[in-house]
Amino acid sequence: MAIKQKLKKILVEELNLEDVVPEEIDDSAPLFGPDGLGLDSLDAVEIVVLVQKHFGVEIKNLEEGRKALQSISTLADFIESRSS
Amino acid sequence: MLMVKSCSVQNNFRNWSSRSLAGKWRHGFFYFLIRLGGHKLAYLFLYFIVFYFTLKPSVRKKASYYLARRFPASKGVRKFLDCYRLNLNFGKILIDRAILAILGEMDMETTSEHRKIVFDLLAEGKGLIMVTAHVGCWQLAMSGLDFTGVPVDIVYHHDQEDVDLQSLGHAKVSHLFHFIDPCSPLGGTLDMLESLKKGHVLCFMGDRVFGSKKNTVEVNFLGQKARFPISAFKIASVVGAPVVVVFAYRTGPSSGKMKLMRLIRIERNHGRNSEEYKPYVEEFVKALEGFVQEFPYQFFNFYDMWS
Repeated sequence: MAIKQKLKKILVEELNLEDVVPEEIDDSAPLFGPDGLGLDSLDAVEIVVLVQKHFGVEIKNLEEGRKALQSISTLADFIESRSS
Repeated sequence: MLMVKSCSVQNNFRNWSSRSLAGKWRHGFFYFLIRLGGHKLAYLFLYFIVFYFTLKPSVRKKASYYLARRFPASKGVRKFLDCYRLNLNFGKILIDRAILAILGEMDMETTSEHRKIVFDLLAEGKGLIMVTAHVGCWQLAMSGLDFTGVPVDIVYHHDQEDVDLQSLGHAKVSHLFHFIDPCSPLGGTLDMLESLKKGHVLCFMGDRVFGSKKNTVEVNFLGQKARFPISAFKIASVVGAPVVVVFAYRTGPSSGKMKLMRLIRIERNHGRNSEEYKPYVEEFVKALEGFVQEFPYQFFNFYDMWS
């Protein structure tokens, strides 16, 4: 499964996002705030842990997190760059 | 740029401020007194200045939200004296804090049993979340955490209008302490995660809400519903870190005693819904109620927590 698809599935299932199906998530939509998935700062902690658990990739600090946690696309790019 | 700001964008929910009541020059005056004559001289002036402030209806109103619930039968002169006593204790706490910052004097007592619990929890290697509140000498207590030997990261938002001298800035202890601003991008949560990964002590003020309402729950406190944050408990659930509820009460000039009130274990990945964390918040609030029953004049939230 492609990283983006896997990410969407993980976020919906493990964050228990109600009324959201993975296929409907826009790759470039913001993860946080009202204009995108509507996640909040506490969800960021869960995403960091989930990315490590499922992809073995660690988001080590705020700088990395700010870049990676913007959208599904940026997060997938981050995972890809760290996996290779 | 990714900016989830808990305090500006989402935070129309916060109803408190850490703005100092007295201006910068009044604080400067007390710092001068401390340098001149130590705590005795500063306390002497404090009695009169607190009396002057307590005469102000706006100051009494700020204290009344708590006092009306803690002492519902209190009226007239007794009500005024309750307010004076509360304000006086708060003033003494601020002076003690300044004494620590200026002179480095502090005596924070902890029992060997409580220290052992903290060491054992830190040895688990998942960091330690410490939840406290604006009661007693909370800042001195944090300074007293140097016994752990590990860095202490404090989730703390410093209002621009807060001109109090921060005791943790003193050279003796400052290297151990680091502040994480919950108003920074992503609410500082990645820094909190990093702190626990490194095995640090991460301190939260469990009686102050930040960010969106959905990260809070309503819990009965002193007979009425008030909102409390779930952040500490949710982060504990994500990383598997133990949580301790710690309060410190003031015992005298520049001295206090730290009490470990509760040890709370939260199962991993407990859930996303804030209501699932309510039992843990209730544990914290029960401990807080126990504290204010024992030390009624050492509770320092001067805003309407119940609104």
